[in-house]
Amino acid sequence: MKILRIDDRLIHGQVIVGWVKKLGLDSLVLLHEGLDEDIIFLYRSMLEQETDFSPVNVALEEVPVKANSIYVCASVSELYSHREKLMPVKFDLLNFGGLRTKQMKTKLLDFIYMDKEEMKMALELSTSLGAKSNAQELPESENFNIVKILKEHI
Amino acid sequence: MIYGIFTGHSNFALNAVESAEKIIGPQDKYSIISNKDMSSEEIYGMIDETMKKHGDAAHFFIFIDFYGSSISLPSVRAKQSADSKVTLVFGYNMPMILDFFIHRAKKTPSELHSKLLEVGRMGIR
Repeated sequence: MKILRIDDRLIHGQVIVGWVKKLGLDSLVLLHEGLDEDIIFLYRSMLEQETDFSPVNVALEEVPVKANSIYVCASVSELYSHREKLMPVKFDLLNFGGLRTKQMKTKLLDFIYMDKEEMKMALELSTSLGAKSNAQELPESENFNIVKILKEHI
Repeated sequence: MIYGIFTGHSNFALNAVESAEKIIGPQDKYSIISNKDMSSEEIYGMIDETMKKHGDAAHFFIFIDFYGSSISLPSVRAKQSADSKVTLVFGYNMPMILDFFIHRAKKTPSELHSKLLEVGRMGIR
């Protein structure tokens, strides 16, 4: 199982406990575009020691392929910019887990806000990555058809 | 006086502090922040706004429900921006809330922090 999650909180309780621990995932890959080292250190310290943690600056590095893992990225535009690097991973699920910044955005769900440009990029990502797509905060919470929602709003 | 900012998922902080007030009576000089439906930036904004609004406080204790929650990073940012005026407490429980309100007027931030860690651990059996 390889999950690609878009979540503007990046690594937090839902990811650490709700996904990694609950699903028994082995690895967490943090996809970023130049986060400060001290922030990365802080994220690493939040994880249990047995979780394999790989911070990857997608602007500079290749994206590693890790089985039984979750990849987390903060924004649709970051993923879209580096989508070519994500193709080889062959994700099973593209999960829209939380985009909560509301300014100048349209509310799609309680936990998903996007502007038109992001909606178009998200829709294209959902096609080009070849993975099943959903919007879902936690593995057992309500599962929304994000593709349908995006199409309704574009 | 040390100002308390109690944070947590959903209504955790609100319910915890309200429960403490049932034991020791109503308190003042504190705020509650929930991360419900908020982005990391919005959480930081709420903490920052609270600290600015109560800028006359001698010190701030920010209580975070657990280390690694979405409130952790905004809290660390708040501490970085206000430096020595902020103490972070991760993973708080009822004995810690009670002792915070009981002792905050009498102890220095450092003494209070040590006291809270002590009672928090002692409260778990």
